Amino acid sequence: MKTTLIAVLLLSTLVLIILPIATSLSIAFTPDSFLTIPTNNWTLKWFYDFCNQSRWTESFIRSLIMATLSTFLGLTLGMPMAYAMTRFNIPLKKLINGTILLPLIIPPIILGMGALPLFYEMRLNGTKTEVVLMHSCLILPIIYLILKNKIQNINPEIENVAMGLGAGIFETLWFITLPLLYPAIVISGICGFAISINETMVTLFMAGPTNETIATMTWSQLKEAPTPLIAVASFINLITILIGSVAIKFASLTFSSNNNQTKRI
Amino acid sequence: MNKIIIPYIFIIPALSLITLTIITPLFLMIRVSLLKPPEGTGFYIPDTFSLHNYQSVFDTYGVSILIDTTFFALEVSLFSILFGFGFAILMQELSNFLRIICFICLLLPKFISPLIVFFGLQRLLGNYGIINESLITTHLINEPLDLIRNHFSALIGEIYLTIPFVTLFLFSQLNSINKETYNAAKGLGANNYQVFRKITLPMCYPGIIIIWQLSIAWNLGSFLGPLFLGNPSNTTISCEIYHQAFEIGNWPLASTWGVLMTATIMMFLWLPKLPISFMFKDDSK
Repeated sequence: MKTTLIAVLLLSTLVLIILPIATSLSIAFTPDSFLTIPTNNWTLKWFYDFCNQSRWTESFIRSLIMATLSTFLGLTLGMPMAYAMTRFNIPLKKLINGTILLPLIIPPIILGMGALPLFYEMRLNGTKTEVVLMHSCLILPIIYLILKNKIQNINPEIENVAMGLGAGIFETLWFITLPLLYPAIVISGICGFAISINETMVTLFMAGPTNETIATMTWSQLKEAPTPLIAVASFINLITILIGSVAIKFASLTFSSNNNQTKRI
Repeated sequence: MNKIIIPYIFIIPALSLITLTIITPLFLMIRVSLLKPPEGTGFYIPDTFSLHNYQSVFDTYGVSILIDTTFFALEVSLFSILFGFGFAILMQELSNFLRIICFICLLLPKFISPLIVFFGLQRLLGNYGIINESLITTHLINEPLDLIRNHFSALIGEIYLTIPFVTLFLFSQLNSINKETYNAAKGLGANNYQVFRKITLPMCYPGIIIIWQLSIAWNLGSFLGPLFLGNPSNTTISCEIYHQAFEIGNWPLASTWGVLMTATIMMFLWLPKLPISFMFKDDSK
């Protein structure tokens, strides 16, 4: 009795949570030119349309490039930060911690609005650089939180042993800490990529008409006249993220098995 | 010597990025909010410092928008915590397989643009949406219900965005409670309600406060829900900023709104800390 009640409650909640997304994604397969939900005949007509419109494909490739770059920048800056904040004694630690988490708290519309005049004066407005900088700043707290949690769970004695045997700090980080951190790096990278590729508000302020991404294209369509291409674009985004994360997962599996062999040798 | 420098080498790149993209813009925003808007192009007229923008905000409909946004954020955070907490408690009772399905369902919306969630909600709740069509075909109603473009639909949209974070956070909080505590309480004769009231709730209290603060901070900046699902009377500060900055081009007034919103967020991050600090003072006695 109790278990069935829980199951029913849970199922209804899950259906409620998934329903809007399922509706909008199913519109990608509609045979009509209106935003109707397909009932019996599903087509890939709108996917062909998406591939044939250069404005959509170019913005897709652009957002892929910018998301990859900002994930890399966020990881290269966030990793040492997370390590230093857990392992070293730094003055004003609480203040620095709060500063790093600021992008999580302040709404993206304020970030975009505040940063635009600054980048305008630095003559960076309308370039890919400013979008990448802003996106990596938005990703940074997520990467920092995930990696910090992981580093706290790694036994510091392992690093101390390596250093006691004569390895320098950078050698220790490269051969001991980085392999242990690898799964967390992969997860935080995927999260960062997903955030960057879906980020709308900041991109809207930063990118302008020259650097349209999938998100800003979706935004302008949704504000004026939505077509099923919106659903197609988000479907392709989702598929990209899923395929990318599975690929990186397999790559990391082979990486870690190689690593085990070297450990055995 | 080397040992002293290395931590700074590690933290300075990230801190300089944050300084460039957030802290400097925030201070610049305060400065811009004190300047006058230009007649032609550009963001502001330099060297015209006055409190003119703040005055015009508080003279017109500014106060009512501030209060409306705050109440909207409070409503969203309250409902998300109620549903999210219930959902997290239900998830505790599940087998591992079902729990993973729950996690996937909760995380899937976060891998899709929030715009798509609102697009789907528009399709669902609209006059020709699934709910109205199915109600009409079953002859329960004759005319479509007004489900969209009101306060209720804006609320639902924002709750959809907040609930995954709240649920995951409270789930981890519940998971950290030692299971033996429940057994001990039940062994001593407590019923389910008493266990919830005396053990689960007090142990989750700090976590609930933190996620409450965070969800208020997020929803004070709620923008997409009121814009796509609400009506013009549901205007929030973010809608006003977008309107002033993009559609009118009055950058100083938009910055004024930005300063006011940041101040409200900081206030809500600081206020709920008071009961916690009082609680810990009592404990130390």
